[in-house]
Amino acid sequence: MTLHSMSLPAVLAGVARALREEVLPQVTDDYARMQVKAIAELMGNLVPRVTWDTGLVAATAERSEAAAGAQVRGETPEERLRLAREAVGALVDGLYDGDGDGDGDGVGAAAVRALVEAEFTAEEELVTTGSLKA
Amino acid sequence: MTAVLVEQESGFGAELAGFVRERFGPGARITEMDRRGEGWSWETYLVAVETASGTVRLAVKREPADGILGSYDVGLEVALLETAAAIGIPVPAVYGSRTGARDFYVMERVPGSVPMPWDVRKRIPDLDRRRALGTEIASIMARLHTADIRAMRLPPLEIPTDAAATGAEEAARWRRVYEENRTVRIPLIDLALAWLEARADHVSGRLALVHNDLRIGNVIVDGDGSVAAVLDWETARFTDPAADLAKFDIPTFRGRSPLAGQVIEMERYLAAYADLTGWRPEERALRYWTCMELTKGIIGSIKASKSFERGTTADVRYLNMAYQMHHALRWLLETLRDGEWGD
Repeated sequence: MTLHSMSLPAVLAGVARALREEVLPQVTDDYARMQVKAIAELMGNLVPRVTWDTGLVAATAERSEAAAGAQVRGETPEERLRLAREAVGALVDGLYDGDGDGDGDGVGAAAVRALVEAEFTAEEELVTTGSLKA
Repeated sequence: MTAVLVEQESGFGAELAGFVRERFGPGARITEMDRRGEGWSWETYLVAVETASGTVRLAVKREPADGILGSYDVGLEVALLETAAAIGIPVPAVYGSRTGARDFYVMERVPGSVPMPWDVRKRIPDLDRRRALGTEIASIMARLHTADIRAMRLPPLEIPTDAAATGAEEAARWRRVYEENRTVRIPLIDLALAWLEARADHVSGRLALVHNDLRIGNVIVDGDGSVAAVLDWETARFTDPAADLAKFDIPTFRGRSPLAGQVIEMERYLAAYADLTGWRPEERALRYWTCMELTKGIIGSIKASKSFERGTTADVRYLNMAYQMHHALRWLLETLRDGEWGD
């Protein structure tokens, strides 16, 4: 839900750094060491060649635009998403005082609630977790 | 478990070796040193030291390069452990601390194991024994919450002047962390923070020293299944004791189980707690702090992944929390959805 808002080169470079600095010093098996070095090098080589899935980012931005009832203009898909989420955020900021009764039913409440449900469902289809229990 | 160099000529190994010689005699030397992988806050090392009188086993907590939560103030952490010990809560004894490139403190290594929410049923298969563990944690929590906070000296922690404002202050604090670390706004977090700010009067209005993470996963259990030590005090503060009760039953660790922390029905837990404190919070206060804890966990994950992106930590688990937080998002969504969208 947030990862594609981060810098992909920074993410890949960080993973490579972790492999070299955190993992490699603890690996004693020669074959495993070569694997770690190769993966780290591969990460570095991927940096200038990959971007986030623009279709995915655009679809996420579109959902937010629809909820906010506004079209935004961003020079990149990531910027469009950022602006669309700002528009939704402005709507959320008014939910609990927008109509004066503080019950969370300000303007756009139904659209915001539908959006958070849709965002979760979309993420559910993409995410794999479980390493915490390893 | 990850083996690291036992004694180095420079760096943390050398710093720790210096501490060991000072504390246990000039002949004392580190013979084992393992960095543990389960910790998410302090770097944790289990260390064996050969001394003139035999082997001493230690647990060392080192300030993280860029932590997720808490202050990572060694002085405060040691003061919290000493305060807890003084009021009768089992905690590891502290051997001392050192300031350096990154501060650290050294404790006794308490024998036992740390059951996690996802393996406690395997480690303690008998439900009655798990309930007994839950009841014991309730009694520890009750002891902590009934201790006289005016007698405690835990700078820089301050006792709030307005007990009714604990929710508003906590929501404001986490909104700041969110704003400092997000790249894009996340509608569910925006919604949760708006709800927490609008419902800040749902707190209990009480004050106590609150551990803020007293649950299965942060206690060492001995061979009899009893609590040998309570760990991880870095998020402790003076706030609403209902926050601790909500955290014990946090849905991210309960899952679909009817048992809080996979060990005890929450009603039993609250009854045991109320027997000792003469008080139990209203349901709305528990719901408020549940929502707060879930929101804090997600914002902590955002901060963690951002730390990785900034290069202030090389721990890939921090980056992966951008995905791991999905579980907390699920529970936050359900908590808000189930009758809490509005009132």
